Amino acid sequence: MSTAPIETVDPEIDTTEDLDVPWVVIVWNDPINLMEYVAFVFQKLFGYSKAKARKLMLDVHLKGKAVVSSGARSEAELDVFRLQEHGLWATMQHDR
Amino acid sequence: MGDDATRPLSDARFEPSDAGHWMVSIPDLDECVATCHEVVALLEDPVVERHTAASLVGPNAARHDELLALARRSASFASDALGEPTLDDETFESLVTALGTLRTLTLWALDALAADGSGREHELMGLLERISRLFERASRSLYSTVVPIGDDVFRLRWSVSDRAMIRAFSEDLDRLLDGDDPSIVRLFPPAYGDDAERSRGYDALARSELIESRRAALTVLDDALGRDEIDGTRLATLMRAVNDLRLVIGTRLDVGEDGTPHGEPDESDAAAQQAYERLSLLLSDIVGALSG
Repeated sequence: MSTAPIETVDPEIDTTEDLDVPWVVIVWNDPINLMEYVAFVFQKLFGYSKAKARKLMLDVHLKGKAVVSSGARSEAELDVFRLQEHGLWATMQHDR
Repeated sequence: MGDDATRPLSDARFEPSDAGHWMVSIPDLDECVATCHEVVALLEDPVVERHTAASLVGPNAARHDELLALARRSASFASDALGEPTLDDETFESLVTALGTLRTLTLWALDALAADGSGREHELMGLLERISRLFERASRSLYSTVVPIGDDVFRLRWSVSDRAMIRAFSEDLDRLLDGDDPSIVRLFPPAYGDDAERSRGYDALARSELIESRRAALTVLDDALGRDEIDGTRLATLMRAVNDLRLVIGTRLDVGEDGTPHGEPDESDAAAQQAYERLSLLLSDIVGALSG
């Protein structure tokens, strides 16, 4: 990831964010989740092909994290929820 | 050899019957028999023969003609067994062994071709995939703790001790879910990472739903402990609960990046360590069964 510019988010204008700035959902590496399980969850939740799910899983495992989806804030929150429901360490942030 | 990586993988199925036999269902039997004999043809390749002669030396070295004879025996046995509608236990175990041998010999031959530098091994990856598919389907049916046995039905081959272990740790997690025990930290990551304020806001809304969903999965898991067969939807749900148990036990054991506990080993950790390893195997089998 490149160096992010300094965030200047004002909570007062939070509601307008959905419209212009996309959010990315990130799954982070952890020592417990099985590699095959992580790949399977990506296939199941996002309908990714076996090859794409495996590639993302390997990014998580080898690079420490991977962006697995992106979209409006409400969509990203739903994806984070579904990933956390499956026990993955998922977070979201602005795609800047 | 007419190999082609686009040839479809077999939907071969091996299902245990109530009568103690194995039912064999192979829609593309001719293709599967051909696959077995392609392995033999691969072993007959002069490049593979030279590689074997150069690699295996010393008094105990296998000779190439012995590898070839092994390939022929395995292919012949597998072809016959795959064509039978039912197999007894002993024959099915021999079939798994024969398919495993053919897979190993294929890897050996591909190594030989790769060492030769012609690049021909890339054309044969399809053969490796097809023989591996047959071996994995058969060996999973024989050894896996979860076996697909028909249209969206799965047989749970969980032992009595597996079921008792799962019950104990499930009850444990059910008690912990509403609290803030450090061992459940992996179940509720901060959704906005370093942004503590937004993460708290998300947690306020989502935590109760996450707890509810986890408890529902634990209920399905608990229900399955009294069953031998379940459908795919329930299996996918209880998969989450099995993983939750691993996350909690693994956190307690302080499992590190190498997959082994980092904390000082302790007598009381032995049972947890054993449970962790067993749950890992069960989860792996569930993923395998659901992946088809």
